[in-house]
Amino acid sequence: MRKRLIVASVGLGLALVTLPAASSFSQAAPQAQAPAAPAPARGQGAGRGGGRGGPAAPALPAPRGADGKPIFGPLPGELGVWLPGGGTFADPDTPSRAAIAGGPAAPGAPPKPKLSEVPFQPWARALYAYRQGTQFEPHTRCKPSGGSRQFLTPYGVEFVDMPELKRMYIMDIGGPHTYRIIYMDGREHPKDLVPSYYGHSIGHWEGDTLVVDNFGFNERFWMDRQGSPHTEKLHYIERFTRLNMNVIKYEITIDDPGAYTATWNTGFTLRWSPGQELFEYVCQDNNFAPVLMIGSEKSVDRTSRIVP
Amino acid sequence: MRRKAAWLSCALAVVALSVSALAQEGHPLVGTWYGDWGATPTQRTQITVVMYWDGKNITGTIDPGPDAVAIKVATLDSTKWMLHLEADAKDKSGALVKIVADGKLADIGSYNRTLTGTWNHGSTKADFKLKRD
Repeated sequence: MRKRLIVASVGLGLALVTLPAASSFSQAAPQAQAPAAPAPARGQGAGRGGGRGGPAAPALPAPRGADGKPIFGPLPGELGVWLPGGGTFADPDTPSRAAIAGGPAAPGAPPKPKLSEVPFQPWARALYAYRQGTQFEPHTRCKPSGGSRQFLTPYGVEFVDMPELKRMYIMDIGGPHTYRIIYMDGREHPKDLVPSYYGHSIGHWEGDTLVVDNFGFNERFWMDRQGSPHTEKLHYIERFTRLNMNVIKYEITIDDPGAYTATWNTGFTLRWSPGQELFEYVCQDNNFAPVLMIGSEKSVDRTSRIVP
Repeated sequence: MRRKAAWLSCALAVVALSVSALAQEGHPLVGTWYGDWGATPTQRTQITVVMYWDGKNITGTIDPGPDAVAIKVATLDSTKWMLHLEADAKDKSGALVKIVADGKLADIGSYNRTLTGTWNHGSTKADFKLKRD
């Protein structure tokens, strides 16, 4: 009897020890929840080289719908998400070795200013510089990522076009599992908008380019990974052009008289990643950043007592 | 005891949520700042300072309410993160009292950033400490 009790106790103890470990392992590897990539889909590999040392195969043309407009989402029966190709708003004035080694910008990438060319107001330039050393980014605290930052979250984004509703949705899961709506019905921005993370988006087509006008942002997110500041005065115009099956040219016009002395342009590309789809990722469950925020690292003071 | 703990948890949650709701990542002076000024560590006067940024100027109010004082001048030297602030208050007799404050902005990455420095209130030379809420 005593032996049985001992065995049971040891078993229970082992279970208690291993369960949290297994749980923390699953949090540490959220990618493992993503479905495995199926067989190569349309466009996969195209433009990245036809094999070992072979020439790059030309990318397939952008898929189009019955109305002739480019389709940004996956085709029926296929999977795919868009991942950022780059993602900085400005190039360093002195390129790093890594940047030089990385070669020229991705084909189709819109021009970017050098950091010294960005028309920061003095406080915004100082804040940008400050952020390079601290990285107290709201995204790392599971806050929604508005503006272009939506395309720079992990695991990709998906465009869901609903022409019957005259709306397009952009889904992202790498933050707090969010989406934004682009109204395509010709409406205007509402007056007296309450500022929000994603603002208010209205879109229209200019040829093959989807133009999205955004307004009504709050100040609780960074516009990019580098910490480009903005204020509630931000007016943000995006231009999406699907150059081929694999690439969207993503151009941005930033008009924020609260943080910049002039309107300026930047952008990057989005790359098609076939065979992937969005999955249930809950930032709060998998997020390790609060530990970083309230603890202290060697080079960064993260002694804030409250994780916002 | 359990009820007390539950109340405390609720209260903390409400405080945390309200603080979070005010978090801003734009101009670092924008927001509501609480703290005090005084000539000695024991003689302190509580103050609330609300500041705005319109893209060109910092505006705002000291102690919003019946005794509100409009900020007359506020500038930020972002190379040193130093705030210079001027305002005209009135004492109980209605006489003008000039306020001139110079403070250093610190912990900018936190929404609970701080401002500390000198606070001249009429002829009183003092210091001040503010924390943004």
